[in-house]
Amino acid sequence: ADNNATKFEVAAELSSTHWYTDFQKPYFNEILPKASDGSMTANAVPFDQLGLTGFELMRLMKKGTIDIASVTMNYVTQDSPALNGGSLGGITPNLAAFEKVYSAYRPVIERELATKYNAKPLALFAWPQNQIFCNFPGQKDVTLASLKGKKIRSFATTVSDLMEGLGAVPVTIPFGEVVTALQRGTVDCQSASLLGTYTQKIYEVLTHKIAINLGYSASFIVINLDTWNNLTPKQQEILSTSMADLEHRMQEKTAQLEADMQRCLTNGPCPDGKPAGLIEVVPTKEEAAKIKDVIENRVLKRYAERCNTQACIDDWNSTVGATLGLKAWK
Amino acid sequence: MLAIFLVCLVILVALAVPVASILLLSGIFLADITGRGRFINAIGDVYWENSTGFILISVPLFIFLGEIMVRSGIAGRMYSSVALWLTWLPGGLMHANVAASTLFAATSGSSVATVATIGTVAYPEIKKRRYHEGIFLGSLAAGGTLGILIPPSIAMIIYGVMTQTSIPDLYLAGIVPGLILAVLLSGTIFVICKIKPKWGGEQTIVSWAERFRALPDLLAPIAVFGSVVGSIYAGIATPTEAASLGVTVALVLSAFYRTLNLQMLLISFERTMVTTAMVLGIVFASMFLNFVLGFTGISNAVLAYVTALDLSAVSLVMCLIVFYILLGTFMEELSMILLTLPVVFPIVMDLNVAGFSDVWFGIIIVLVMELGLISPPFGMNLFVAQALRTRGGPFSDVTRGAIPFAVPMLILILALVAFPEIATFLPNWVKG
Amino acid sequence: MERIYDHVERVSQLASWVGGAAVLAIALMVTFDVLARNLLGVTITNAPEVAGYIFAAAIAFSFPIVVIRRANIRIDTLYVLLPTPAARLLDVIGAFVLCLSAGVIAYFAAQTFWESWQANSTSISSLSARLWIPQLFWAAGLVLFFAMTVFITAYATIAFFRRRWSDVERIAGLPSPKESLVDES
Ligand code: NA
Ligand code: NA
Repeated sequence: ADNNATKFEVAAELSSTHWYTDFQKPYFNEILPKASDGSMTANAVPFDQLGLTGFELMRLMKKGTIDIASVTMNYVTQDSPALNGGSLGGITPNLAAFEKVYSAYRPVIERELATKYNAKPLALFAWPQNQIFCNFPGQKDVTLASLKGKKIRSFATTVSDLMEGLGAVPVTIPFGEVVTALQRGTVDCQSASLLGTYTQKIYEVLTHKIAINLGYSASFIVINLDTWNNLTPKQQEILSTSMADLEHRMQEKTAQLEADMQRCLTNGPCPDGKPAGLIEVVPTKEEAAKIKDVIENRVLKRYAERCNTQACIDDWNSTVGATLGLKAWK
Repeated sequence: MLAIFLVCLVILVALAVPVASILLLSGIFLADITGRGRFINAIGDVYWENSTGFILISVPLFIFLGEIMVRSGIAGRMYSSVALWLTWLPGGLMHANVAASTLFAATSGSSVATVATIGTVAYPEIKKRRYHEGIFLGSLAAGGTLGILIPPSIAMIIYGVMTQTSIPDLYLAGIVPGLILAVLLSGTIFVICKIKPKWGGEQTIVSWAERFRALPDLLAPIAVFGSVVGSIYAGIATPTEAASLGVTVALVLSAFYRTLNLQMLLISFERTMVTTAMVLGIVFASMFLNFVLGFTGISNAVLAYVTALDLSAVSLVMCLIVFYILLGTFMEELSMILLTLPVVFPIVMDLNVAGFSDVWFGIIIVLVMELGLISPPFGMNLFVAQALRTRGGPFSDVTRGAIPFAVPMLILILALVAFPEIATFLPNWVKG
Repeated sequence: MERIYDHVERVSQLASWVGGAAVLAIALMVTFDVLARNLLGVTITNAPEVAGYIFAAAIAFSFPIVVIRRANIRIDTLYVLLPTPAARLLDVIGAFVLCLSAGVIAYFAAQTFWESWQANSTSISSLSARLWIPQLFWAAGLVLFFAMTVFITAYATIAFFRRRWSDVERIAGLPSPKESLVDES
């Protein structure tokens, strides 16, 4: 295999995340070179260290400027609404559902990435669940109805759809201003992953955790197709197998982190530090029914509208929709 | 390889090639000699992403705000009024520059915006009141660095996100060092002007009656400033949005004083865009260079060397500070932090010294960035101060004028290493 | 050539006015958005996103005036010590290097636009903006910038070989303090 020794330029996950420090860094620096007897090595740099925001990663991937990148799909829908089809607001109730959805949807993702970005997915992982977190100091009896008219920072269109359906006002403010905005009440709530809310200590300016599942943000490790095609079949097989193992380990970590973060953000016990002590608000049966209604009649409808083509809608209905018993329609 | 690169850099600097071009060409050159020619394709995307990003958008808004205040006469009257109170003090209005920068820093997260705004407003006073141009511009460049130490702060947000340090804690920790630095900067001006009284502008004798009679001239600037600060702290707007509100209020006031006209707007447009485009041309090129440098791993290699020396905790921290000061002379500060922090931060945390907390190190990092902002030859605040000079003049005026202000910054950094509590006691106290 | 220079200056100034007006438009749009959010409880304009697009084009169109006003920062430590012909040579070199970098930026900006056009990329927000539209304005500004640096370099080079030092300085030099003709107030 030595005659095709390849060194990948890799834009890896954010430097401060477990995904980088515990998984991707050892994978690219040690596991991959070892598994391939040195025929595949990598220069992996976290994308924030490169000064990138994430939005340009897939464009750089398409051009072959970088070989491999770890990309959150929320950044990618620029060119393909279908890519976000597995992460629509609130559709996946738990990690098991997420995994089922993506195994059904993977062929669509493969095709979209190949045609739009000249790229191929190698591994997939979810970030711990997205929920709504609010700064309602001194307020008791917080319910779903308390969100009515409240300004909530949104990170994705599909999440905005869900929040609008609940009567809230989705606001797009840049990430860098979230803390000040929550502290000062410029926005009342944020929608975000359990993980970031705890590790970036945003809970310090929050009081309530509204346990509405907004779904999971999916990340992919993708490889440029030209780079892929230049590998020998042996190399391709080693890369695929070791990536499948990496995917499995990262998903296990997601499950563990999600359970930990649920407790860390509320009253503990928390293995990662002191508990945040947020007040958890769990939706009642009626409220859950209301959310389900918003998903079926608003989130999916908006998605179908963004889809543009009937093929995009049909793809979704026959894969994700069939798995979850949902239907997107215009 | 690194040597060739540095030699080329020095040659380009000596040839007085525009700084933005030096940075862009360095990036291209470095990509090429490290066998990463394909990285050059990233230029378009890096420029586009940074052109549309929120971090920079408040810069032209605040500069425009400053222009409106100058051209509507609001700023001139404000300075005349403040001068009546400060003219007896060695350094006169330069103290007002520092005080204004300190206040402005509470509304803006960026050093560049702080220098540009306060500087636009203050620059005409140099000639009017016969200040030493170098020192006056130096005080503006140095005062502007408070923009990232006093919250809100873009530098702290980036540090917080990259190291998972509490941003609210960082904000609290910056307040006391920020105020101390403001006092030290003022003290530096005082000492300089005690030694060279001529540099401190014209001194005139004024009566208390004159002073009080001029106070109403402060109302308009207070209204503009109040709309910016007030909207942030009342939770109406984010800092970037507040800059826009300030512009709107300044325009309304200017209309009220009947100074708003097309001619004045067009001059403001041109001046705003000259400064903004000049600064951003440098920032964009730096971000591309940063992208290439990140893949080369040069900074990591240097840091690996430093840590391999097996030094004591304090010596290692001092080594890192020296490393940052050297790096800060020729690198754009944000790039410097992005590149090095993922490596440096774990090193410092592994020292396990009680006072050397994540929050404390954040403040140290902000201070070395501040030093970098005013250290020649590549200091962003120096560039902005230079760009303000509609009358022109050699860049070396600004660099020389800023050098004395590095002293109080160094003193504060050393004080923080000796007494980390200066930064950490406020957040610790608030949390109980 | 002097007549062309006057036109270039005029166009650069106009472009900077457009850029400044765009910044003013951003300020007013954001103010409107903030008021709407606080008084009516609605988000209307996707202000941050649109502001970013306008901003990108505004900067691109403002690069030429930086060259005309000679506001590009150059480290002049050595430069100020040199005899006139040598300093003017550095001016020509500086103009040429700037022109080169402007060309690189314009080329890759055009490429970025072209890729968005071909892929029909849209932004991720509910606005779903067609990215090629703002990128077209942005790239056009940078191409204009390149074109004007080509002219400046050519003009400065010709003036240099005709030993018209003051012309070289006026077009491509660093502004010296003695030219305090413009009053800032
Ligand atoms: Na600040
Ligand atoms: Na510097």
